[in-house]
Amino acid sequence: MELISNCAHFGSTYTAFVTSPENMPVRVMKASFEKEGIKSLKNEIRGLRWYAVKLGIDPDSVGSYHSFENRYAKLSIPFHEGSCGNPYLPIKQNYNKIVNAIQYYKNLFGKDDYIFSHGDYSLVNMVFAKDEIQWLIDWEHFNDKLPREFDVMNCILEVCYYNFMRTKQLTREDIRLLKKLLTLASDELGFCDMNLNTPAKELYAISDANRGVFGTQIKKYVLTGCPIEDIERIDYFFQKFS
Amino acid sequence: MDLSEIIASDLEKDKEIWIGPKGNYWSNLDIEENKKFLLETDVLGVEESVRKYYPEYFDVIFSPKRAAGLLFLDPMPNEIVIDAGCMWGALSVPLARAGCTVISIDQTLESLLLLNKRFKEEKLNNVHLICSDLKKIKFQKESFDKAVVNGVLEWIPEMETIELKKFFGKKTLSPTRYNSQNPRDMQQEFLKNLYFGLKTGGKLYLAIENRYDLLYFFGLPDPHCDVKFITFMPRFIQNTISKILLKRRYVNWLYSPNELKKLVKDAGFNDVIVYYAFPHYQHPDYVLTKDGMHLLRPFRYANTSNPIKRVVMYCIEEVIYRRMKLSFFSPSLIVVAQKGDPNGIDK
Repeated sequence: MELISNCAHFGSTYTAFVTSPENMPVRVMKASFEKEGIKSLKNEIRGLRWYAVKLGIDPDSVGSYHSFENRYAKLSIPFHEGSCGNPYLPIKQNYNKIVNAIQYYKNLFGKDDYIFSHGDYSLVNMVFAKDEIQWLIDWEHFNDKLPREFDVMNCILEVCYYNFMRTKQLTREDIRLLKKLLTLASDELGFCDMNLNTPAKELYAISDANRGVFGTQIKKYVLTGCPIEDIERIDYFFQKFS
Repeated sequence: MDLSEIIASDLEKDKEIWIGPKGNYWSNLDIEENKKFLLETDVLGVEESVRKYYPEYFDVIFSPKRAAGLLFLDPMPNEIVIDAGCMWGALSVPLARAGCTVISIDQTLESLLLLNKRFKEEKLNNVHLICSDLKKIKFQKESFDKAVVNGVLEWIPEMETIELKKFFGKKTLSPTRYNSQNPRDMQQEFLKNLYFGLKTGGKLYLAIENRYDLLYFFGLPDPHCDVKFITFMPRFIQNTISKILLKRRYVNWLYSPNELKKLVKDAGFNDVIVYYAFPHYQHPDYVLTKDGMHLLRPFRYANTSNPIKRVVMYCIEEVIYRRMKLSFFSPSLIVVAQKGDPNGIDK
């Protein structure tokens, strides 16, 4: 077994790979002794089962969950081969992946499904084969009842933020691609009242309105944990190159 | 459950704590301030009191990060688990939450009184608290399922009262306070005692710093005596330096991964796995096998403010740990050992 994450992202769950004798990961084990972590794990197994039903596979095959009197919970899920996305890469390199992520989101959650969301729809939580999504992981915010815009905008603007952080600049080409992605997301998923000239502020406002839902986890999303000056600066580039 | 089925030593109950063979005081807090602090907890509750009076120890007591290593022990409901040297219960509480019957043993009564309050506040009643010297307490043969020794083994050779603030990096007043017994023998005796009490198939979880942590070579002081460049020295040099600087023998012996593995095997355990904890066993972000060290991401560099140091640290961690997998220099060790069939073949 290899413990790879301990209470990361302001949470209280532990994540470990259960490995084969050849030291290849075969399962992912998550556990928590804290209420917040147990809630996350419960959400995650619910999300995974919902996801399995949507994909038409056996819900019991996506993971097993055990808990003891709501004080300790353990989740064991199969390991999925593939590589997760990397939001630190330049926007151009991630462009196709994000386009696919928007389409995948639309197919999975449906245009009119306002009930569920993934809650942490980041490239790091998508298992890719080339640019195609094979599997989604980390469903711990499923059922948090977030506004639907949040997932896809977070996915796009996270990449934007990491690119911005490198030089504190965004190029005209970056903005062109980001706007294209935001327009695509808006068209596909119907974000009619979204101002695409100030997307960072829009996302921040959504997160801010849902602080109660996120709790301490709010800081794990880059655009809600960053200084307000960065948000204004990102929007400045959107307006400058509009 | 009747405690006499597990503990062979005579125990007397004083209020809610069982008192066994008496040991010496060991705590981060001085005796007097510990007593005063306990009175405060009656008013404010444990968590608020710690937050108010000792915020520096808040994470030591309450951080959920501390229990991550327990995943390797896989606690199950109704298992009997000994937490030897439980102190304020950083691992006892999570074990109790997991439904184990926890027997928390510590030689400092004040620590157990605080822990008792924590258990009460959380309404955990599957616990037994025993105040006893860890070297003197005796167990019934094959009576418990798992044992936890978290940051305790290196303190086993200490013989007298330790108020950490007066001890850490300070000269001790009584140079004759240590007997001449070999620290390794004392540690092995302690492990043998646990081995005797464990059921066949039972597991030991042991966490300790690595004697050859890379940072000790760069001037990180020994975490038990606050002296630099002492930890990795040969034992006789450690003793000489310690006697000159601190007027006492160096007894808080740490080990390399192989030395530790041998120590545990010599105590009787026959299936011993050494894991490497980063950045420290008390709050590990990674606990990896040697083969799994490629999963590591550099960690200590981020806490360094000097930009040159940051780059150097990043490179060292990336190259030494992640790429070259030199587990010998890892910061901390976690050993999970199983008591196999004594008549079986040694693995």
